[in-house]
Amino acid sequence: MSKLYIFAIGGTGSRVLKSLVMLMAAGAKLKNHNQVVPIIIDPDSGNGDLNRTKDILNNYQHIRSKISSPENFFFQDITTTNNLTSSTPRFQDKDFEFKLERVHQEKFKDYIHYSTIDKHDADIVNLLFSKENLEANLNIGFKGNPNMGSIVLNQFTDSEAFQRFGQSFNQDDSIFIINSIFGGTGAAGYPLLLKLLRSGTARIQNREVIKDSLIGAITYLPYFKLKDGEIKSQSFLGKAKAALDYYNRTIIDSKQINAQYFLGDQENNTTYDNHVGSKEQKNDSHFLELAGALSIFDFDRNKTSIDFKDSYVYEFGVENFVNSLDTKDLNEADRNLIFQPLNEFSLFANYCKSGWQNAVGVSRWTIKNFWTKNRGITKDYFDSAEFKNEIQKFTQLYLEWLQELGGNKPGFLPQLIKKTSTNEIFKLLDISNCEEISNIPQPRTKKDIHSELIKLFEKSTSIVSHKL
Amino acid sequence: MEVIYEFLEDVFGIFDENFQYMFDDMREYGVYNKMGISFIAITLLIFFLFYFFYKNPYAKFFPHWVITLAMSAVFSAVATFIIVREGLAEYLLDNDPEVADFANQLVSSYTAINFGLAVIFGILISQALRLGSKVQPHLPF
Repeated sequence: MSKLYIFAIGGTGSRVLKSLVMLMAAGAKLKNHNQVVPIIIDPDSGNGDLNRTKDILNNYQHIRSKISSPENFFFQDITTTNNLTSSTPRFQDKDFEFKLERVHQEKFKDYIHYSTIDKHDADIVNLLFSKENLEANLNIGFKGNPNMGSIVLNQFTDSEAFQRFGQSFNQDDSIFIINSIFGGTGAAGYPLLLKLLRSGTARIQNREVIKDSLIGAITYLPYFKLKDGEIKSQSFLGKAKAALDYYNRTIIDSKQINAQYFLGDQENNTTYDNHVGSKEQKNDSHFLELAGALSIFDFDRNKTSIDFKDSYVYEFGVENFVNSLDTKDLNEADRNLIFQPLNEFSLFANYCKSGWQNAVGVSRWTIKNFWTKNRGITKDYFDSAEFKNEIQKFTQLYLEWLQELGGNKPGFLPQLIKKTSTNEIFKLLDISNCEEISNIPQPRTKKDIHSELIKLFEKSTSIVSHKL
Repeated sequence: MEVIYEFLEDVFGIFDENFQYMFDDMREYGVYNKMGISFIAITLLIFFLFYFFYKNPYAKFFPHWVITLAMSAVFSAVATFIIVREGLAEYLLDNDPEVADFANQLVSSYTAINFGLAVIFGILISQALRLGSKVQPHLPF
């Protein structure tokens, strides 16, 4: 069983991971990896994007654990390093994160013990770091300053989660790294992490296997702007150019990375509010983050054809560049990967929001008796905490994700998805549900409470999506 | 069919020896068979459509199933009315008012009997048809 470890660094990493989870919930599948192990690296533990992604990941795990052998929706197994190394699996959102020590309520100057270093060293430090850098609180990240990030992030090798990563890594496993080149955490974290993995010097198990493993990465060039504030988005491009030059010399030319993806959009992008970090940093989902998630699928597809001794560089392009993108504007491989899953899961998500109320206790598939052959999808199920706090919560987050994608620049909202929330469509789904309920396999265990609902909607949404 | 209707004639006191010839004519011209087949066929057809072609996932006992039953009973009654009137046409126009009255009374009685039979048959046939229905097996209750 091969695993794909995904290191998501900084706010962009979290947002790409969110798009990846949404695609996987919808049924997009990896071909050459059985398990996905997301690892988020972000010192800003209060970051809105980070917490939203952890919440989504945790919710995904809870739902998946209650489905017997998922086939489409929630098919991909997403797990944590903790569950891979522990005999008692648990589902906790903190397990998706590398916890950085001493970044909470600590200033950068305290972190580097500035007050205790001698004058000569202090002069060097003053050359490398501005007064604002030294006074900056680390609990809200590096605020677009990779020079700070490169110091603080060095510590993640000592973390327990990194040890577990080494412990669980096997011969056939791969690694993928997500970062942005124009911020602070991602720009600093990627070269550091890659160097650590490739050098074979990390104090973890299997470091020799990790050293020679397949590693891919997606690096984001600027794709949004910020309103005037502490982080200057005017500096994004300059920082990106400098970092690209550095990456080119130290990563690509020296063949440290097997597959390097670049993504960016300078022309047609959004301007977000300027939040230096914390819970206010919760940017709307963006098409480029979805494209980043697609690059992970591309990396997975190419696993068998990539030469482990070589470096490949990829860029992402669309077939037609328009302000509002549709699946038809993507290339064939991406279109085939997400077209049906997005349509079908959108049907399911909209139904979970406002379709089921008409059917409960009325439609055959929600009534349990001798004649209906329904075993567990009853009013009690729809009233249960599991349905409300897991399925409904996840599908609501999915719809918000879609809405954010559609409202951003460039927008991405497939035409067909707009048709998935009408009463006529809900009626078609209910008819299909009635017709298919007797063909749904019984859950393996009683705890697989979502099994019947998910399997039923996999069938009915597949039938109805062809009528859209 | 004749046996069933003869039994019902006795139960409801419809039979009258003085008008034996009318009953003989009905038997001879197959009116009993037509009446029987009509209510069975109409009820079967309507419930078949309800259980296999009417795909309303939100159908309930009331009004959907009850309306289906009522429709099958009314259509059966109308068909019976037409069949019996046709079978007894010459007696309905008879100059003897006693004969015409009895013929009219027979039309009403058979119409009412078939209405009731359609209701009973509708309930029974529902239990069988629902077994094969995909969308409405939970009805009538």
